[in-house]
Amino acid sequence: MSSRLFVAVVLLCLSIAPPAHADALNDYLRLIASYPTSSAEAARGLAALPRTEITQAITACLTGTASHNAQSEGRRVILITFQCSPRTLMGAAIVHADAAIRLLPTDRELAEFHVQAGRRVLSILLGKRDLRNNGAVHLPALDEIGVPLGVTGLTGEEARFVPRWYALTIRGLLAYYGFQGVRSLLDEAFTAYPDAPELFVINGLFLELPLLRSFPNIRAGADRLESPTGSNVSERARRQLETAAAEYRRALTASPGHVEAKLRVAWIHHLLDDGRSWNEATAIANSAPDDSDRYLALLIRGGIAERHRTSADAIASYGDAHRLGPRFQTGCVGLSEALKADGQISRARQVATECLSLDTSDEDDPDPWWSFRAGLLDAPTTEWLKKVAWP
Amino acid sequence: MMRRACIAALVIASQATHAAAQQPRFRSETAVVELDVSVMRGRVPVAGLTAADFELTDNGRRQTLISAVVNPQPIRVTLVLDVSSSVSGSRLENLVRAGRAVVDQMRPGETASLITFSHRARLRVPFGASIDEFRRALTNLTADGSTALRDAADLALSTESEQRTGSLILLFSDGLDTMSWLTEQQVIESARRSSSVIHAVRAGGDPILDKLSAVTSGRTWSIGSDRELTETFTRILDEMRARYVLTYSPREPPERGWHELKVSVKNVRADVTARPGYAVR
Repeated sequence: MSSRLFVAVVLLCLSIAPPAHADALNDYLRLIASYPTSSAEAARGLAALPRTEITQAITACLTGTASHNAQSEGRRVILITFQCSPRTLMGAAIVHADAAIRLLPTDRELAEFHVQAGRRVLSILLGKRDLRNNGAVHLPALDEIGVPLGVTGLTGEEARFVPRWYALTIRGLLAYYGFQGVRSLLDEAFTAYPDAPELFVINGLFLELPLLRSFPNIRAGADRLESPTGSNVSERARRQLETAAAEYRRALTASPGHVEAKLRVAWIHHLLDDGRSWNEATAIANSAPDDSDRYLALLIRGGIAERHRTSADAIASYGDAHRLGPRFQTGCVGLSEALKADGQISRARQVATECLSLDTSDEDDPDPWWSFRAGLLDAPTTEWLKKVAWP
Repeated sequence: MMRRACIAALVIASQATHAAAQQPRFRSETAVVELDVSVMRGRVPVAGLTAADFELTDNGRRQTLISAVVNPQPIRVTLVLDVSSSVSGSRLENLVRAGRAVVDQMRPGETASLITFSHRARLRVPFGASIDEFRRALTNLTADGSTALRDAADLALSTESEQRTGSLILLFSDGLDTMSWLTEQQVIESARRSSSVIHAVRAGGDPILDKLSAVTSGRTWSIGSDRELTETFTRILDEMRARYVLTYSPREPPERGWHELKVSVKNVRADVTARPGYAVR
């Protein structure tokens, strides 16, 4: 692009925000800034803002002041310092996603608006970031001038922000939109990030979750599945599970330490009665840095032990899960059942009574099995995104 | 002394007879099995039956009944209610009303407890709580979350005490299980070994409800409208109170393993619902 044309393009985007837009921007930025301390309130506040205000605020994010004296690679460029920093845009994308997910049960149309708003701030983010100029920008937002999404100036860990945002948002939308409804979002993300491990995991979930929904009893073994008409669907289900596992392995190729991908491979091997699952689950239980992941690995180990090993192994695995997550019901239920199967009826009854009276006061720390089973939002990714946006 | 044992956990009792020191000692074993059954003609329990009116086979062998009486034990009712998000609104209101009807109709000596479940199962009211506490717990119910029906049913079965008749689990659900860890086979096995009778009330709901009620000699009640809940719950109570307890002493010492039971009534047109069998450990 010649410098003359470049200057002309930049000037097209230069504008001064009128006073109303400034108010809208201030409200918007205040909500974004408050998210780390009170996320529910901030997300609800954003959801309650009029759409015109949000649109004005995002447009105002594009405006800024120009400096005409900069040089870059021998060319004269105009540097524009935008009103919204890259981290603000990252934060905004997160809050829009959160608002969308909260709105889904009651107002799908407004939820979609917030998903689109999140995508828009990300496109601004991708278009404007240039580390060579210490945070100042010499390119306008690419979507404003019709350049397709996919170019990024983010580097290092930050470069994973956008695919992880997509992964988080898709998971949140899945429960309400179903798989076809969010397929286009996943395709868009894959176009820009064809090697992102979190997107391979989502691809795997698209294959695995429909089976979990169709066959809630699938943990009894993929070989025992029946359709509502009674016909055996095991072969098809097996193939679909194996294809899902292949996606999780692609995630591991891209990111060998990806714990969720490891867990889901071990879980699928458990469903398929694959002999590798015991060692896989044991390895995760011994090495996962996060207690939630260790808990899930121990549950899977307990399930494997019920079918293929001794009742002592099952009791030990579920017992470890229950000790690790004493407030979580699933480990408790597994332990009670394993004790019952071992003939320890009184102890099983005692544990079952405990399971029904667990401390439920901390609803922000739910049983990890629930999220894993539903393929829903994963807390570590949510926390990572927040740390990047609000360091 | 013969030792009575509940059908679900057969215990072989032993009786030692002592004679003079120089006489050989001998031991005889007797086993007694109690089985509670429902006898209905349409919607009405059939009253006035005696042991002579029943025919019972244990693993195909005809047994002689010692007695058949309407269950003398006060019933223990565990309400296990689905409070997932699909139950919200008028369904929840009707469910609360039905729960209150159960509590209001408790007779002297009868007790009730309340377990609710969505993705999490919770004991809201233990046995022995006051009626006011029960009513308050029902009034405070909210509906939210997914459905872990199998886990909740298993926990309810596991916390029931063994070796008693008159134990009712009244289980309501309107959805498919989306969240449980336990498999269907595990829960059905728990039900088979339990002494509780499960009456399942479904509004749609998971097919496992039918299986649980069948293996425990209960029934599945399908409702077309939420307004039917109260009447359904109270009919279940009435049917439970009208069950007969059949007692027999097996002709031969019971073998370990599964015993298939078949029960019918003679000279009376009625439907008999009984457990399909019991296990001897």
